[in-house]
Amino acid sequence: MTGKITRRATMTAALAAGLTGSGGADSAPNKATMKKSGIAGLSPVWGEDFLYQWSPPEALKRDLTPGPSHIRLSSQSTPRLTGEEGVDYAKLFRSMRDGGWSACETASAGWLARKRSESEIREIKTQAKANDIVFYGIHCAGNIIAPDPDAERWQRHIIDAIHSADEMGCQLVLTHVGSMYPNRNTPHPKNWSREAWNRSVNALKRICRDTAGVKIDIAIEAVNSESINNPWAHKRLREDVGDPRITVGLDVTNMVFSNTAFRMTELIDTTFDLLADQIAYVHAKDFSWNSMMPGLNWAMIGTGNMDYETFLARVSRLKRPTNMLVEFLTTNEEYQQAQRNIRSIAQNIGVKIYGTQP
Amino acid sequence: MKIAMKKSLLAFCATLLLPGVALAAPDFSGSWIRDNGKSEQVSYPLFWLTRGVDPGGRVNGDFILDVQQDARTIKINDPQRPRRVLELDGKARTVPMDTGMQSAAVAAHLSADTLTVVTIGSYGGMPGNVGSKTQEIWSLSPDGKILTIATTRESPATKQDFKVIFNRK
Repeated sequence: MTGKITRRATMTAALAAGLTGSGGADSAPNKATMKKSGIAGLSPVWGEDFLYQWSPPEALKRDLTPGPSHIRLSSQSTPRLTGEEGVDYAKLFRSMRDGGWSACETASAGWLARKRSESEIREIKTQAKANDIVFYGIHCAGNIIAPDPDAERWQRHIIDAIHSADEMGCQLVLTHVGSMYPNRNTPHPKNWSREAWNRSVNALKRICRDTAGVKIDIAIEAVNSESINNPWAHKRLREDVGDPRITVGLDVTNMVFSNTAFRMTELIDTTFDLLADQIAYVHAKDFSWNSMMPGLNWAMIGTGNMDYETFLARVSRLKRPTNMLVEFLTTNEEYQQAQRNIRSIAQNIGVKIYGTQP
Repeated sequence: MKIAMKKSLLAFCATLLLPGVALAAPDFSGSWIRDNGKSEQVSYPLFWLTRGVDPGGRVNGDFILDVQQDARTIKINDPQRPRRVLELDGKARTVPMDTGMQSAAVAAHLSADTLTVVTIGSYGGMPGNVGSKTQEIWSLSPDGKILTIATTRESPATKQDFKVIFNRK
């Protein structure tokens, strides 16, 4: 990906995609699920003048056609790739493969806590390759729009992570647009204000400027407590920052709220229709809405509201093989259970998951 | 997985159709009070929540289950879920799941000692869920005063078991 993105160019490309198909391996946009108004959100179903549009349309058609791209699974089970010294990398990567995982990432806080020697870097690359593990990225901590002076510190952290990812031969860093509170996981009332949006855009522009020439995707993860919590915001952020390295670390579950909790097929389709060419990798989680207040809870993958058939089919229709991080479970056994469900659902619809599970 | 599940349901149905098995079938008719102290806490709908989240099963309480059974059917009125009417011939029937968004194959059969209900469908009844097979085995104590429903739920991830006890009202 090269060249500066302009909003006009993006709109022209989107229009062309709508008229002629997306031009890639992914299918043409599903017009039934595309918004028709100028408002971010799924299309009305019925009774929109007096009902929230929380139930899906009757007889919604799902396109479960598998694509040609396989999916590599990574996880947050242990042992993990961390910044720890003295690691036996051959043993570490072999244990990942033995568990059915074929990709991995690392968390920035521990990873950047120390400098690695050239020989250690070489050993990591050698052992990852020998065990057929793709070390694709650094999952970044921090809050790039935190109240000053912390924002500067965290922007610097992301910049360091980008250089380290480049050094390691990774594809991406994963980061977030942040919160106006110090802890970005706490939603601030002004996170959706123009001020917060501008802070996020300017922070990312600065990060792009200070890493110009480094070919590492800066994948943004949607989080519901932040302004990037829907596919339209993802798309607009890339346009406003104006750098093609701003991509998507797709976490559909993180975009869910009451309005979409029972309309996941449409949300997934709409997201891929809008963002397919920007998706750098994906996260796998699931959720259920099981209480009176609109508090969603984590569920075992494949048992909740996420439409995993549609999700896996759409990932497999991306132009290139994609890494999928299974996250937010607790025990290694839960990660194995999640992997079994993913592989079963994928097998049912003809999607290829790389490798095998013991 | 779907093919495997269909095969397993067919095999199950075949065994149920053996002649003479249902000659002395138990009768579950009556009102049954759930014994909260002796029952495992099970949420309805059956969520599989992770990260230590309580699915809310403790609100089950001592509710009343009403059952009407005749030679051909059993009607189950559980205040926590939609009314069920099951044919007791062991044949699988396609019915909408409680979410109304997916279908399941359900077969019910009376043996000399038990009622077995097998449901094959998607785990949570939502589109894109993993497949699952749920087997309920209903049985009565020798004096007919205690009803036990033992449920096993199988998915590719794992097998889950839970038991609920009712006392005759």
